[in-house]
Amino acid sequence: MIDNAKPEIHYAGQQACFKCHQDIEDKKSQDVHSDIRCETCHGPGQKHVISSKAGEILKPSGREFCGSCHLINPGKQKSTINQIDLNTHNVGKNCIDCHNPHQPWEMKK
Amino acid sequence: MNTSRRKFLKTAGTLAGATLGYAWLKSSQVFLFAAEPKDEKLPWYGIVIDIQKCIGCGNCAKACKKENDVPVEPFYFRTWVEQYTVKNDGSVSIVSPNGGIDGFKQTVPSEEIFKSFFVPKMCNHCSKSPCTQVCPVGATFESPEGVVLIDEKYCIGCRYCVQACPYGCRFIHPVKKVANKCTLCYHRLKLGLAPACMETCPTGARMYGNLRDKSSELVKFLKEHTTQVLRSHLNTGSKLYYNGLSGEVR
Repeated sequence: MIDNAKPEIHYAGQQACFKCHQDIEDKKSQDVHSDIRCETCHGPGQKHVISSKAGEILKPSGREFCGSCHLINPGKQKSTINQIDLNTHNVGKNCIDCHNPHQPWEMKK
Repeated sequence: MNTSRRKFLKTAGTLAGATLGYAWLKSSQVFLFAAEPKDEKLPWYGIVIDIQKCIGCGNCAKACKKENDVPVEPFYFRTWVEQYTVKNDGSVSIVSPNGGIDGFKQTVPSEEIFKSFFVPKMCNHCSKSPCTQVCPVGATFESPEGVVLIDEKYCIGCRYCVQACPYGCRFIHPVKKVANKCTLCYHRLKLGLAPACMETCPTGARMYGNLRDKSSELVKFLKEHTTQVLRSHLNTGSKLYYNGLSGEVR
């Protein structure tokens, strides 16, 4: 049992993120991504929590990344998630050109 | 001491009977009450997966592999996601490309689909787990918190448990050559953190909690929803409850 409790963690947990990034928490809490935890998009953050280096954390962008959740699929409930067709929705543009990932409905101008 | 032979035999018989009766009761308790927590002070973990909330993004499977150093090859999963598509003709298509890590592409034309949904799978942390029962060396055991774990030092890699698990939740680690499975991120639970799959689920489709705490979110959810366990006829004492589970799911 002790051995099973031994491994080091890779995902630090949301509370560790908010110790430094309070501003993001405030932003995020006002929009539809409020319940999504940081490491869902930014990947495992324990190294970044320890080193505070920007290079140690993912900053994903790109249509495919957002599409991993928002791509249209008959298995997804319409009430759970907004789905888009990447083949027709503003082709050639990056999602974050218009949407702020922390506040998706505060459209960038 | 002035004891007659008859009296002595009577007392001895009663004593022997009581001892035997007690021993029998105690041994049968192992089966009858195996589902009871061993330590009242510790939590007794259960899991809920809400089918309606799962969007098949595969974050859970991806995070599990990273957190627990699970081999990246697409044969080894501690958790994975399946997409069930029920067609108009009643046939069912089940796909799980790379355990759902790379997402799902629509494989059945829209006009043929009757319904479609995602089912995340993981260890059910059964309270009467078949894997624990078949392990010949006692390497698989249940923690006092109700989490089924493996002691890698004891495991001889005989694969009995892999065959015994009715949910297909175990595999033999290709490097360590011992059995491997979901630990409900036991190392994280001990630190008060959520398991990696639940930490990274964007829709909150997965939930864990203390089944002993009647005011916990998990118990509240179980009270308010009609949940189901997989393969209930096998009486494994599964502690993984699915909300909105369809009859097609195996």
